[in-house]
Amino acid sequence: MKRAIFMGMIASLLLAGHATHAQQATEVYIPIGKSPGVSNSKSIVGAITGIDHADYRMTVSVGGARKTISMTPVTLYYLDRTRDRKQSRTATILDCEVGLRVEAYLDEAGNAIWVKIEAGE
Amino acid sequence: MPSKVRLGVTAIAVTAVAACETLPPPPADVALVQEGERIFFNETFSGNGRTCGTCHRAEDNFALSPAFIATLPPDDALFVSETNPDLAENFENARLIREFALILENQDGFDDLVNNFNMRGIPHTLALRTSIDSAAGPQTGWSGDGSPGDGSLRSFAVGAVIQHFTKTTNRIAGVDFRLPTDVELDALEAFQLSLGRQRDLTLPLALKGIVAARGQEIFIDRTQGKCNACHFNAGANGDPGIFGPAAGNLNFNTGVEDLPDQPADLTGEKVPPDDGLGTPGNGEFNTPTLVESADTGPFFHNNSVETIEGAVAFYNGDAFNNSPAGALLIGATGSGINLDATQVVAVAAFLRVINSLENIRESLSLLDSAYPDYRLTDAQRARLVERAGFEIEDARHVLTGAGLHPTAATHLRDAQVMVERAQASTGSRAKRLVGEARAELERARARMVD
Repeated sequence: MKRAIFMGMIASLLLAGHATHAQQATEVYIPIGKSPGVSNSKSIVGAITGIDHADYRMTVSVGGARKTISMTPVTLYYLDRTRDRKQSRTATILDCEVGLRVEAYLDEAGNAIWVKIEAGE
Repeated sequence: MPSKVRLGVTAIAVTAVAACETLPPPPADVALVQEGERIFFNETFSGNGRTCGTCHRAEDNFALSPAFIATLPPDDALFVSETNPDLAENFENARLIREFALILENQDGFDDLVNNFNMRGIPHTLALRTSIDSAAGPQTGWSGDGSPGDGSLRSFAVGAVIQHFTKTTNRIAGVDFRLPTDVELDALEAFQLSLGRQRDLTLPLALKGIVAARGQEIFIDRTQGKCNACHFNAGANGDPGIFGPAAGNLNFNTGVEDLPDQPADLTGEKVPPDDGLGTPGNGEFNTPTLVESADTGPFFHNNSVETIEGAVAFYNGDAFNNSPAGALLIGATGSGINLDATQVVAVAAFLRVINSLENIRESLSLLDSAYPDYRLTDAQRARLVERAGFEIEDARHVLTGAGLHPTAATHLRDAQVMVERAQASTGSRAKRLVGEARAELERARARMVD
């Protein structure tokens, strides 16, 4: 009985809330389309055609199709300035502007874990 | 299967330690492993001169210790912050590298390089096939979140290049470094997965040393050491009888950050608290495997404890017993961990002996890979024999460091001499000497385990 309690307590307490994590700190310096194991498989790359900053939503044109991307208050934003050979940096949803190229990494629920925004000219 | 691949797979196959049988590892793509090894030790990714092998030294168990660092020349790429003015600030702490083998990591972001960083030891890359899978996905690095992208071991190199290989702290891809290609990531992953053990032990082992055997009992006993709950079979995974069959590798907050008088803190250098997994962190760190522990100190994520005996004793102290993990253990079992000095030494002796046995297994595997595969180049064969020599040296040191199995240590010394002579020889003479080294290794193992 004691063993069962031991097993149950430890398993329930330690496994509760455990979720997959990735070191996102270096993600800021990975250009759009280059995130290992994410780009070309778990992300969407396209140009922003509409943005609602208050509602955490944007539409993106992907190969002629239009897709809606939902963000959340914990979505991370990165400004990718690699094309201009400048240092990339963290950003906010306000950096999402119509016409800019973005990559969004989506979780299983379809919400963006992070959004990379290519810096404008 | 082509003959070259078949021979190579045989060469990489694991020589099992007695009573060490679980599922066999998947076959390895030998060419991919060899390419991964080349990249690991030679590829700088157009950065500051560092390679993966700069910090994960084959001579030092694919990790890095202060004693080894003391042997390096001033222009070694490890010390790039001392030689590259662009990396003089906010990239490394030269004193903490040299004295404690601590590397600077911006685990919580790069927005405030002056204040927001961690100083962490360099974990070895052995037995990764047994130690990174979990129900929540792969766990890499000290806090389980060491990889960008999908968080996998394959992706780890991308984050490492950005953090450690850059020419400047601007970290611009294509300027300060180049990112690894998909082919390179595949090869690096294959090489890293080929290193060390490919399967977990099955405890208890039939150990012949009475102190180590007693240590094994304490290690497993759920009323004494309780070690096996989180280090099942002395590996990196949780006991499936407690955490479920697929729990695999787990993170815990064991209170290491709360240890008083940590060596790095005593220097007066800036060492911000390390908050572990996530941003902001939850204080949890990844469970390392213990089979390889005795020869890969210093211990814990911040290299705060120098000896394996000290690492075992940590679980007796207030830092652990007052930690979330300690409180959980007390709540579940009615008590914390309270081992007397003789018991601490016994558990450490057990860890030393299984480490030595693993060194012997690995050295035998490496020697078997070197001979009789005549398809290897002389350089490849020499490299395998050299690595076997490192393993034998470690096997002896972890025993003699605590006065364990002196006769086995003598056999290991003789094996080391044979390997050194083989390295200075060629052809049939070298092969004969390797055979003699192999026999000495078998004799040493027979002294320690049935």
